[in-house]
Amino acid sequence: MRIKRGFSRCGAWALALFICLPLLAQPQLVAVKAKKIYTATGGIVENGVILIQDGKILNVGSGLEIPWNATTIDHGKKVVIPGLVEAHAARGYDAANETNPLTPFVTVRDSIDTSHDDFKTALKSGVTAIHIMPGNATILGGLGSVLKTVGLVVEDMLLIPDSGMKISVVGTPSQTRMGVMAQLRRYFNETKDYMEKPDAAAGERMVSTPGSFRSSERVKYEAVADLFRGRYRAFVYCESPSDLRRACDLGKKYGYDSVFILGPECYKAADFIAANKLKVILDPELVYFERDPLTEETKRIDIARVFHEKGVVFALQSNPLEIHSRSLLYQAMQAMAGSLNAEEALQAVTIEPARLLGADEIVGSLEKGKLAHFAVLDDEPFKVSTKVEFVYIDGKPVYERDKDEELKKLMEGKLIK
Amino acid sequence: MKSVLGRSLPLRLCSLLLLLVFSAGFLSGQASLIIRAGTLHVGDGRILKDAFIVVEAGKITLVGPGYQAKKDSEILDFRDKVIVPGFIAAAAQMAVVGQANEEGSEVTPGMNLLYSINPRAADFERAWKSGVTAVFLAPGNRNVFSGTGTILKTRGRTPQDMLVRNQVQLKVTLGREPGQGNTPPRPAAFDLSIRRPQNRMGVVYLIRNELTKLQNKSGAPDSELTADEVLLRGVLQGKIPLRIRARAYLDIETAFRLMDEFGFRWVLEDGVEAWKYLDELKKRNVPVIYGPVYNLRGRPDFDRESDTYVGRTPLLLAEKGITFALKSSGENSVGRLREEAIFAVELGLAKDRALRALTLDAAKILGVEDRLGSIQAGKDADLLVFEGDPFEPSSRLVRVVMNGVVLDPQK
Repeated sequence: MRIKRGFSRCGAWALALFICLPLLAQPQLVAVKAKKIYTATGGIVENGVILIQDGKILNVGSGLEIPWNATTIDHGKKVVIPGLVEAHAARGYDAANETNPLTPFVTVRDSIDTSHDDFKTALKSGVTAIHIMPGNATILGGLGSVLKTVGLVVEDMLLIPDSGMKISVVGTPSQTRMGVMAQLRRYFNETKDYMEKPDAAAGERMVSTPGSFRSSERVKYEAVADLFRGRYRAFVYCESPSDLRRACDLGKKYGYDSVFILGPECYKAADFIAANKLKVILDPELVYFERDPLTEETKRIDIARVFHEKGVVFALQSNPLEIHSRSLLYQAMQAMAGSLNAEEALQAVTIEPARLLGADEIVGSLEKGKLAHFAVLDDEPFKVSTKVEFVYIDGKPVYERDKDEELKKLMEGKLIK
Repeated sequence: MKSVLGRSLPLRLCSLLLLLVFSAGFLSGQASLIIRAGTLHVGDGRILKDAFIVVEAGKITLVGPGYQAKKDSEILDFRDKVIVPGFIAAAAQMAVVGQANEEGSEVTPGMNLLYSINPRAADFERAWKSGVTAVFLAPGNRNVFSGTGTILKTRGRTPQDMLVRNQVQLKVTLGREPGQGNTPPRPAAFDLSIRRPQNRMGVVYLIRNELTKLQNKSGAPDSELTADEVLLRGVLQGKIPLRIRARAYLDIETAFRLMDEFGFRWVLEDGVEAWKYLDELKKRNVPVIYGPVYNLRGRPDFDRESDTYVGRTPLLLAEKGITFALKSSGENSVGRLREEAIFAVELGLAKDRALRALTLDAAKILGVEDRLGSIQAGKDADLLVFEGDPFEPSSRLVRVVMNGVVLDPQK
């Protein structure tokens, strides 16, 4: 009897606990309402709701039923766009390039300064994911990372720790293009030899944590070996069409996947890029003036227009140091002047860069299952007067224009008499 | 009889045909070009809807709504486009063959940049293909008095072809630049190659010295003066305004002080810290050519607070009612004038005010508003055709009209 009674009491407690536990562990639900939601991949949702659970998008649509336990944030008169994705940035640290031209084993994670102005600038302009890479002046530059634009330390910000290997096939001040290619081939061949050794094949994939390196040989080759194993892509900087062709052939020969960061002159290779369906990031300078040395005529080339007419799908990048490429939204507007429609322009700064970075499962559009990264604008996205009012990362508001003290100072500064 | 007729009829027909062809050619040469604009920004703030512009021999002869086109006139129909006056770069450095300064002396008022300009320079094409149809060019910033400026159209075969007006303003540079690099690495013995000003004081000393010399010669007739001195006399008499390039607040103050002493007219160029002297600039009626609007941070001479104001200065100048134009700077930057204005608009400058800064106000500052700066009868037919609002980056510039010639900037 006793036992029986005890058992039933136990059962009652267990039952109560069983019922209450899910309630206690009820995930945080947030519903964000907006007048217009640009999803980037699924068109525009008018008077829509984004349902967010634990920083991820549960659903997007108009007329969604908002659960009783969700916190509702009403941006009823505003426009929401996905968090912008910066496809390639050589900033966020103090120096872009190593002095040694062959440093595939370094990673930008070690040099990123999370308090750098570049992150604030990016966040304010609606960028939620930024791909930081070594600069264009190193042959084998090292590994890049895709980061959120907010965080105290690098580890908090990482979306993709090792996003790709930066390669440059352009000559350096002290080296010609043939020298660069010879160095690349030698390094690649050595890496292939290394990979055929029995212990390398079972290699630990701990490229970037120096403590884990066993031998100097491993330090030297493992990063490129991982590129050949398909763990990440190469991001190859090409200045001219012939650079592009060389970089393309190199990738085929050694069997790795490449994304090409194009210089402005590469517009001439638009047909080649279209035919081979290459993954490309355009130069920040979208209007290029080219002088013919014979006729002395200067042609104006709208680069986005050339690529768009050839049917090339591309990602845009910005360069905040220059007025004509100062933000991704500005770049998208310029691309619209080059005949892209609004949807294509938005895709070139959201889902397209996300695809090139291999991050399209988590960012780049407002879809079920992706991270809730988005920007709230006061008006349509492609007007110069439009302001970024809020930025949400992982479903949390991380930037609020009204509380931006620096901006307030800039916009409302009182004059000294 | 028959044979004569047979010969003469074709002859007559031929001559008639020839006459027709010639007269048609003659007529089309004389015939006006008529441009129809969906939206026409005159340049002085007026906006006309569905207006016509009549152009004859490179000049605008008529502007207004509802024009009855003659049959032989060429009509360009831009009824869904926006037309604005050609942009004027009121300050630029480009297209110079060799150095932009005559460094033989620090005081070279008689220098004229017109003789050093390469009309085939890529910069000119870059300029008009970005909407800049006229540009003010003056010698560089290395001299105290570096010479007079020249206003040119951005397209033409020779500098003479492009010339709008010569010897317009006399360029003066205040601040560090005339003195930079003049200090010898170590105290050397007497060295002729050492240039004079070594700091700000030295620059002001040279200006004061030159102008005082002229004041003391006020009794002398022009025939006894050198060419340089005649120019400087023009400045003292208020005929030629000074173009003073001053960036930091102390240089702007210096300019005010010199103005009090010598009573010249002047235009402030760059004016990074002009935001500190808005009342004074207004009171003294000094126009400003401000810029670049974007990214002026981190220069050593400036007040830290200037970071806060640089982007907003155009708006503050507009609010004060100061006449201002915009400038872009740096290599290949002349085509970026529209971008500077767009940035100022982003920070709050009204679009019509931004347009005036690039057109009519720039022309006024340069003293060429009789020929350039707005779409009005009697002025040069320099206009831009945009697909939409000229201050939206997404609107494309589709046509540039210069002296009545219609050009495609996208080629």
